[in-house]
Amino acid sequence: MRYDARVKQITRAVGLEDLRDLVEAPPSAYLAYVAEGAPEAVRVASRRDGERWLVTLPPGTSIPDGARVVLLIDDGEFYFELRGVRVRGTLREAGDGTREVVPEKIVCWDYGSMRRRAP
Amino acid sequence: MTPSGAPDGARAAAAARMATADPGGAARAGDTRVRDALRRAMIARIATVSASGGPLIMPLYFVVLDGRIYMNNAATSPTVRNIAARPHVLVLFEGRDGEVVRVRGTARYLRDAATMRRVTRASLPKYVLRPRALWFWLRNLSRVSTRSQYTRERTDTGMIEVTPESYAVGTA
Repeated sequence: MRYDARVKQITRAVGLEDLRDLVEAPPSAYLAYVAEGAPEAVRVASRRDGERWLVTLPPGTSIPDGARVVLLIDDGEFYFELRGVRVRGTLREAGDGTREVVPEKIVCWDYGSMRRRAP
Repeated sequence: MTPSGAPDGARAAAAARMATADPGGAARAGDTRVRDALRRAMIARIATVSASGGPLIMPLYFVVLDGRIYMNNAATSPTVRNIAARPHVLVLFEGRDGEVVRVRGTARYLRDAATMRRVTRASLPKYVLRPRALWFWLRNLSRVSTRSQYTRERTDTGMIEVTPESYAVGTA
């Protein structure tokens, strides 16, 4: 295979299945949204229910259904420990005081899995 | 136990904590809780808004120099693109006892050599030279060459500089 400097050879991208333990027991989770044009984010309790991404918002947090949100679940302090999931989607009511992030795009990374891309 | 750890009791406890979580009240830069969180936290989470009005949040390494927050990031990253379009940002730091320090400010992206050198020098004691970090790097020596290539492939790096405008301390 010819080396192409424009194509990055090393990747930290992983699949969601590689981070199952993280998404099932997240040490921290944050939900970002936009309020009056400004960035806003709150720490949330996050859990998976099958394929669903459920979050419990702090009291007093008002985010309308249909709002564009990003859920960030990440972990680690030192370089090869760093890993995370970013779920971009929209928010909707899920009942019992919880909300659901309906995903449009999911990005996962794990610096501990950094490796040369498969040819 | 973490918020969605399998046991129902832990999940209920996390939900209970969330029921009393508070995004927080105003604080000053000199507030002990603010200084402590900025000193202790290893990761900053920076929230931005895209040109089309979409939210984004990313975890990044950071250092504080002369009251400003610096984070290394690629020029092509979504966060940097967002800052170019809308420089107002929110940066979150985890402090003691579950506290969250929220810093609102204005960001710009710098790529000058002097700033890069200053930030790199300030980052070394925090992420490389302290005993825990040294031990970590020693344990991962076999991965360092892969990491070096990863860094070499990403030559478009620079620094996000955030000038704080307001602070708040809460639990969410």
